[in-house]
Amino acid sequence: METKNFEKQLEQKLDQLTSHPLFLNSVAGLINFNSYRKILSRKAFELLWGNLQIPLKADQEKMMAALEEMQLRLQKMQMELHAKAALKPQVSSQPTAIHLQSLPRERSHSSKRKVSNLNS
Amino acid sequence: MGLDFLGSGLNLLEHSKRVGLNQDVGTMSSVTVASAGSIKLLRFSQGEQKSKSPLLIVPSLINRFYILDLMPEKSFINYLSEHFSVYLIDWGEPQAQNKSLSLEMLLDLHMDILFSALLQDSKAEQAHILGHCLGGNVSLLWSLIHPEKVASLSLITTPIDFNAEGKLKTWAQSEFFDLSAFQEAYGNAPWIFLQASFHSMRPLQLLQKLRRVIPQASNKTAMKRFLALETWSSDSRDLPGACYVELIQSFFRENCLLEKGFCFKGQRYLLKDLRVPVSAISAEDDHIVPFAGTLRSEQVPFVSHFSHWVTRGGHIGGLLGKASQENTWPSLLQWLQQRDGENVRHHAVL
Repeated sequence: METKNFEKQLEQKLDQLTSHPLFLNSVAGLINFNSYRKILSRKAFELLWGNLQIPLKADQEKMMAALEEMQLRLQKMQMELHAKAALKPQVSSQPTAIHLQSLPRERSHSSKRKVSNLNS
Repeated sequence: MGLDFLGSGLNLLEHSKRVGLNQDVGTMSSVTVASAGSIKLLRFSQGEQKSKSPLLIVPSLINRFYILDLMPEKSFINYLSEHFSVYLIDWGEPQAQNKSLSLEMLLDLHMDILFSALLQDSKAEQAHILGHCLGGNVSLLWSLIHPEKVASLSLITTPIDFNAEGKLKTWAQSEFFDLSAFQEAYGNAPWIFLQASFHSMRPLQLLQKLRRVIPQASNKTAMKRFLALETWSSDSRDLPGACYVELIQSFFRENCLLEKGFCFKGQRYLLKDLRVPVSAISAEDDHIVPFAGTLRSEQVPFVSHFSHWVTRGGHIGGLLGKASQENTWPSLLQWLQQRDGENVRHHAVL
């Protein structure tokens, strides 16, 4: 029972501590400091790498992100086309096939006519 | 007393070795229907269509989805798949190049591709969506943007009012934290950072958990459940940097769902404009998503059907607890079946 009371009190105190602006600002400060340190050291390396004409990790990441986005946009367009094709009535596809079959014959007729015209 | 405690502790170790940490976790078989980058659409149900519209589960963006299929006897997915064709979005593992993946892009490209694939695969025109935790926010935004594609929306322990009192809100609203520097330095928000934040919310939780579980060390079922849950809770994923920044800035600091609106392709979407039938499950003792911050009927005045179940337990126990399994799961299933029976189209109001 005493242990539980102690735990409850400790939990309340820890709650107060972790919600206190002073504590929050110091933790945020530490995270910020670490972020700035990481950014600075990375920029220094990037400068060095850049001078040596070596491709940077950040550039590769940007390129990969752009490629992935392009791939996704194409995939989306393909899905939309599929959906549109599925919506079209089925009868429309048959005459197109007949039309395509008859197309070479028509062409040959017209070419003959052209030749005859030239002869005349 | 001390020796008893030690004895139980050794027993726990022995059991953990015998049981194996990864045993019985997320065992349901699934098929990958489509993928968009590292994000996949999985289908859990095989065979014929079980419902008019399929059910899409959108798990949390931070944790692994197998919490919804933790063990065969505690599988929410298995329960639903007996009555619905269940699909699920597996957020996968964000890569370094995904640090600029924002919620807007996620909705515009990934969700759009996967949702179209779902409709194509199930030959349906609409789908029911069930979002868990932050996955609920993604589902909600999707339902606001494309109401015509959504048969119903169910939100499980999903934060809506980010101004509700809670520790995460206090931390996230601390203006001293330089978000853009954090994103620039780390890229994606590291899972260890997110995990540490959740653990720091209740620093004594681990001790309390151990004290509760050690006396049960000889109970194999209880131990298996404990180890399965611990396996899951220490198996998180990074959050794409841009998503993390948006979550803190737009959701926690600006409370975009209720106040400013979420900006998608230049248009602002507010929760009050939701038109699809909606249900919500909230947990009373949830310290991650405070009960006061979950969905309320007055926040969605235009929905035709609204149901809200409050369960006992915390963020996870509220869904996987015995009481929830016996009462809330059947209620939600019944609600979903009723919505599936209605063939209503919900159009966007411009």
